[in-house]
Order: sequence, then C-alpha cells, then structure tokens
Amino acid sequence: MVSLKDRKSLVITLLMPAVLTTILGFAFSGVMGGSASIGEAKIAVVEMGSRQEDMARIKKAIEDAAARGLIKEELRDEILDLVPETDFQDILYTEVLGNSEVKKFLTYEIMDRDKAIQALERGEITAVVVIPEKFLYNTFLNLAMPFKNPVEIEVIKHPNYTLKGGMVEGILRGFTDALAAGIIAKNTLLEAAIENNVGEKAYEGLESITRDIFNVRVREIDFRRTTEEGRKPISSFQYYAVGMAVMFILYAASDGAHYAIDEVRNSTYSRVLLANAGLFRIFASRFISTTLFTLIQVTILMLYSKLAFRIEWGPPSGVMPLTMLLAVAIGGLSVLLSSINLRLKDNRASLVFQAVFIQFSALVGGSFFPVGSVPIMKAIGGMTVNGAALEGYLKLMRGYQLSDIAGVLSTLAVVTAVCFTAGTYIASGVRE
Amino acid sequence: MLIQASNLKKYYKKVKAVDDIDIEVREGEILGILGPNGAGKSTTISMLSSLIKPDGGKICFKGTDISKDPGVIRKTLGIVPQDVALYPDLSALENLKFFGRLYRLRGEELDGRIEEVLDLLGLNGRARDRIKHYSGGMKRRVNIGAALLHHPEILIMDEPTVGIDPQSRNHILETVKQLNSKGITIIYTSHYMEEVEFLCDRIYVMDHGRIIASGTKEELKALISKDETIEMQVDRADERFTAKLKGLIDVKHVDENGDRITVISNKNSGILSRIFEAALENGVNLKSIQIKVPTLEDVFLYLTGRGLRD
Repeated sequence: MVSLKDRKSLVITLLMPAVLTTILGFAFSGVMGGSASIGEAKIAVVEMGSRQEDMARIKKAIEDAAARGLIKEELRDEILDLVPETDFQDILYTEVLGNSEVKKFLTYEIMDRDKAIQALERGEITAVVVIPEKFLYNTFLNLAMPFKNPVEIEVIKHPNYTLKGGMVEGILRGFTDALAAGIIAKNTLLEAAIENNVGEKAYEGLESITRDIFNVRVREIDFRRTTEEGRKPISSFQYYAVGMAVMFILYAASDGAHYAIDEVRNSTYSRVLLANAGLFRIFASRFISTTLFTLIQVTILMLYSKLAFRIEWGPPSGVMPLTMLLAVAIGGLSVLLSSINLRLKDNRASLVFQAVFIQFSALVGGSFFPVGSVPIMKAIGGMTVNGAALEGYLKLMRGYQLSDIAGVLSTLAVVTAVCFTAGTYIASGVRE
Repeated sequence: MLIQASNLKKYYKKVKAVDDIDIEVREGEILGILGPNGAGKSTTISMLSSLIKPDGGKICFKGTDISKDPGVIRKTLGIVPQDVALYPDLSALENLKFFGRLYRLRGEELDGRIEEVLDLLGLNGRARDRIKHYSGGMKRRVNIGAALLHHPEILIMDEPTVGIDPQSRNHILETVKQLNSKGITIIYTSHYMEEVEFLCDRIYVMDHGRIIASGTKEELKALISKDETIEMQVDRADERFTAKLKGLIDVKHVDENGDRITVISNKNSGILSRIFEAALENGVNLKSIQIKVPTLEDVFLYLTGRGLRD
C-alpha cells in the first residue's frame, strides 16, 4: 500500500520501463527481426563430405564408364580434364561468397559442425551453411547423367538475426538455382553425354533434373537446442519490453529493502514490533508485498506492451509459472536486502544494489542489448534473476513451451532459495 | 506494582546511556521521567517497553520477567515514540487501520476504535488526508491515536509535545489527563518541567543515565525547601559581579545566562541586601529582582548545577 502511494517508486517501476521499451523498441527496430538495416554478417560453412574424395569418385565414375565402353578413350581424357572445373564448392567459395560485392557484408569461415553450431548458439555468427556429404559427386551425376540424387544445402539461422539470415538463405538459393539451371557446367556435360550416345536420355530428364534436385533447406536455431525448427523471430519491441520489465522489477526488491530501513527511521518498525508482530511476520510481509507488487508490475507492463505494440509474451502455460517464480525470486531478493539493511541499521545494501548491482545485472543479463555474442556476459547474465527471466520470456515468445525453460525456472528457484537462506541467516542476527 | 525495574543498565560502546537505575510504575498513575536531552529517558522507556534489551538488571511486569516473555507487556502497552511513527504517504485513517490490524482488530470493532480515537484527538475532519500534509501538532495527535486503538493498560509517551504549537500541546496534555482518568497508567517523559509538573503524580529526575531524584512534586521541591531562588536582570553582564555573588556567604549556586542571573541561597539569610551591595560595588544596575517559588527546574538546577535545557 505504501509503495503504491510512493510516486517516485511508481515512476521507476512502471513508467520508466514502459517509456524505455517504447524508445528502445523504435530505436533498434532496424537491427532486430524484420528490419531494414543489417550490418556485416558472418557465416560458417560446414563441409560434411570431402571434396578430394568426391573428385576421386567422379573420376572413378568416368573411368568405369570408359572401361564399360560407354565413353571413348579420347573423350574420357577430355572429361577428366574438365572435372576440376566442375568443383562447385570452389565456385561457391570463390565466385559466390568470394564475390567482391558479397564480401562487403558477408564473410565466411569453414568450420566443423559442432564448432559452427556452438558459435551460432553464442550469437557469434549469423547462420551456418551445411554442404552435405557427396555434394560434388551428386551434383556432377545430376548434371551429367539422367539421375536424380537430391542435394540439400542446409541453412541454420539464428532467430535474432532474421534479416541477415534471410540474406544468406537468398544467396544460397541463387547459387543452387544457378546449378539447377545448369548454367555452370551443363553445356560441357551434355556435349560429353551426346558424344557418348546418352544425350537423348539426358535431354528427356533435364527438366526434372533442374526442377527438384537442388534444394536449400532453411531452419532457425535456438540458443541451446539445435534440432528444433519453426521458431519465431524476436522484434526489438519484444526484446526491450522483456529487457526493461526484468530490469525494473529489480527496483521492487531494493525499494522493499528501503522501506524496511525507512520503517526503522520513522519508528514504525518499533511500533510494529511492539504490536507483537515479530521479525518473522515482518520479513514474511516484506516477501509477500514485494512478490505481489512484482506480479502487478510485470502484468501491467505485459498489458502495456500488448496494447501499445501488440506484443505476445508466449503461451500462458509458460508465462504464468515463469512470472510467478520471477516474482517469488524478487520477493526473496527483497528479504535478503531487507535483512542486510536491518542488520546494518542503514540502507547501504539497497543503495549499493540499486547503484551498482542493478546496472551490472541489467548489462550482463541482456536488458540493454543482446549479450549472446559475448560468452562471459552471457554466462554471468544467465545466473542473474533478470538475465534468466529474459531468456525464459524470449524463448516463450519464440514458441517454446514450459518444459523448454526448465533451466531458467531452476535458476530462479536457486536464486530464491539462496536469498531466503542467506536472508534468514542474516535476519537471525537482527536485534529487535 | 505494575512495573518494577531494578539495576537497569544500558551501554552504547563506552557510553553509559542508563547506569544502574531502579524504577517502579504504579497502577493508575501518571509517572514522569524528567531530564535534559541525552539523560537516558528514551533508552529507559525502550527497555521498559521490551523494545531493547538491558545490559543488566531486571524488569518485571506484574511479577513476570519481560526478558523471558516480552509479549506479556507488549499486548497491554501503547507507545507514543518521540518521532512520529506513522507512514507519511498514508492517510491518518489508513495508518490507524494498519496499526489496528496489527493488534488483530477487524471489521466493526476496528472501525469503532478508529472513530473513538479520532473523536478523542479531534481529527475527524481530516482523517483521509495524508500524514505528510498534516501540521506537526496533528501528526503528533495521530501518533498518540495509533497507540490507543487496542485499549492499552499502560501508555508510554516519549516527549510527545516536541516541536508543536501551544494549542496542540495543550490539547495533548488535556488528552493525557483524560486518558488517565479512564484508568490508563501513563509513563511520560519530557524535558519540559512545566508539563511534568502539570501532569505527573510521581517523577523520576534523570541526568547522565542516572536517577538523581524521585518522588512527588512536593517531595522533590522539599529538596530545596531550605533554599530560596532569586532571579535578577542586570543592565550588563559583569564577571566581577558574578564572582562576587558566588563568594557571598549562604550562596549555594549562581547561574548566569546573559543579563539574567539566578542565585540559590539559604532561606532567610538576608541575601538580598548583600546582592544590592555587590551590584553597587561593581557598578551594575539591577533592572529587576524577585524571589521565586521553587519549581522542578530549580530542583534540577539545584541537583545538577545546570538548567534542563542547557
């Protein structure tokens, strides 16, 4: 009741996050999901097969064809001479990704799959392009023979980099379309096929060859789960609605602790004790009031973001337990800070919390900007109340379910338990 | 005996805030604790109310040691702290409701008690205003009201009239009398001797953490019945004149405060003529001179050599 009548507290806990969500949402709408401005993208290329082995396979296939009399000796030599020129992977690297215009906004690095996925999880790269096993060999056969060996290049995108991921996808589609149309090597190959009396069949199958065999399969990746598909991208408004809400609820904890010491200063604490309330009742009240206040605060901010920006916070089955546990964690934090304040008989603890911890926690927890690309910040932030909650809400917004945020809920539960244990220990030394 | 405290001690580091005192509180009385700021009055009543633990001694409420069971005194006690112990952002009504609920008052009973308290304190008209918008006097009245909701047996009032206007002060003093007439035992601390003199049946005089005198007003004044107090106003402060006064036979104490000088001397010692002579000798003109009826202030001056507000 007191905090609701404290205008300064209301401004900090409700108005500020709403205003900052609006400002930051607009300010960063260009660099988050569905935006127009992009900046440089870095991708990883994963080669599942070996180019040398593929080239050897191709040569062997030509040699076999010649041995069976399908190709004349002279033609065999000519085709073998042409094989190095059909290294489409090399063409991808040099002519497509190495193109001077493309290089202005896209750089690539060849990595093994695990490393690439980890880098994507950490947000260090925008997307992973997976070149499948026997890519060169199958591509060669598809173009040279009337066979259909489906070739699928996989693009795994980070949901935070919607636009950049889309560009990578577009470039790869351009490349495979070019392959499918036979622009790169079909003339050479068909000529060879005709000379070997398979030209007619090759022509018959050409249409189907160019229609279905090359495909770019696209999927997004989550921070932890690399196998799930179909996650929604996060807009800047969504990001900052959560970022600001989870940052400003921390003020509820320190405000609660401030009120505890204010009560000592204005002697209402003594009056409450003399009413036989006891320390347990005082701390229990602090916990319940802060928890309820946090619930109200988060609910109002959710409603505001929904009404103002049509932000969906995710399935209620996930949002409600997460919000509940978050509020309980803030209540626990308030108990801890209150006990330190009362033990020290001043508000140093809550002042330091406000001036230093909240700012630090907001920074590493990702309230100001996504910290996925800075592993140490991400690791520390994940252990903070706001960082864990931010991760949880963003996951729910992307379409994950309650079971997918078990880690986040565990973190919040651990924080609550630690705060209660430490708060109870410190409070036991508080003299009435 | 309602409260019996013996050998009470409280130290803050090396400072002896309360130094081995004995206090008795009798049922139905108004007990005054008189002393200057820092005398140890607030520490004493904090111990009597079980709010702080003494470093030595024992306090019994109706025979029960309150250190073992603080609840026994707390539920019968109303306390009016020196500071206004209210939530400034809440209205008087909200404050009273909150504190009433702490005493497990609910519903109609709580509403009735609040109305009773607001009537007693003359605050009905502004009960819904926030405390922070009240005058000092009104805040102090609500401060008293919050201590009365649960119908306490004992009311402890720690300097309840500090910093308020004379009208509110009179209202509070009348309220105290009224409450006592209803059977509430009151412990009243103040450094305003006239308040203590007006209200209290028995008085403890404290200084530097010790009780330096106790008894009824009459008993305390009898301490200086062998003396008389002479107050004079001079045209200018003069050290030689003051020194001369201090050297006069029968003079026990001289207190100088600018152009006002107070002399305590043996009664009927013919001191007046010698004061005139000393003034003449030192070229000091006496603008006024009077022999005072002794007050508690004089008692304190006599006992400590200092005024209550020094």
